[in-house]
Amino acid sequence: MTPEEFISLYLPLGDGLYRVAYRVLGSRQEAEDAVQDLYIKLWVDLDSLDSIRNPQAWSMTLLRNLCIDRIRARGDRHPAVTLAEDLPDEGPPPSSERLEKTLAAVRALPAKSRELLRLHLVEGLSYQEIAQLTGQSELALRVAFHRLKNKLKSQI
Amino acid sequence: MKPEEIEKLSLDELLRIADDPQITVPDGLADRLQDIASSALLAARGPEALDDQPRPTQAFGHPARWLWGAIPAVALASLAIALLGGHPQPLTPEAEAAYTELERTFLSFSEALQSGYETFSTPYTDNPNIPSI
Repeated sequence: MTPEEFISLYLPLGDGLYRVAYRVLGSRQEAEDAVQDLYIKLWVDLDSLDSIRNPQAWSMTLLRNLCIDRIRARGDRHPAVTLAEDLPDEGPPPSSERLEKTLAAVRALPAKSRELLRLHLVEGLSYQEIAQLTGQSELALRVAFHRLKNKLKSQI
Repeated sequence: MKPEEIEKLSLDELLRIADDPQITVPDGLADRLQDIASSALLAARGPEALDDQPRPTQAFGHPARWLWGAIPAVALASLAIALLGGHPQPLTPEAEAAYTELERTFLSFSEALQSGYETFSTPYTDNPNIPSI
């Protein structure tokens, strides 16, 4: 599955997934964290999503399992001690690690820069289209994207 | 909810909860999920994903653009043929046969134009008739 297909098929499911997570977990923050974990998990397994016929059903099933894991982790009083013995040595897959590092860098950006990223990467708008939409000059946008690129380059 | 209760939830029940308007979605959730998508694209493609990539366009753009150039070119070519090729000779003395011939000629023009339009209105990346380089 291409990133563009993922964005168009899976991103619109976010609200519904949040509602399920909230009903199950009973906490807004935990529900949002669970949905975000789900999206990271889905992205890391992007190649395998081609075989999924019903993205909504698949997302719900994965989310349900993530929520169950979270609830069980709440009840585990010594998770660090117990889990450390069972964890494999290699840690999380590299793609997941890279994504989480990039996500941390993106979240640290000012709101305006994150908005530019969304418009360009997720909505697929060109600099010219963003300039028309935001009322900024195209030159100013080019400079902003250049700075953004250098900043992210140093952090990712 | 307990894990056992969650496990028992059917897909229909989960979908009903997903549509429940009484559970309000926090402001900005969609933006935060889009940030994940942005990050995922950046992680996959690197910061070069931020470059301004031109979208794939039709090989000759919209027909309205090149048609206005094509019309004077055809007119000029017709004039050159008329001037250099001498006076046209009648193919048949019969008016009905001449009309049929004319109709057939225009039909072939129309088919050729349609075929050309279909070829050039397909983006080159999607056109099976153009081999990939």
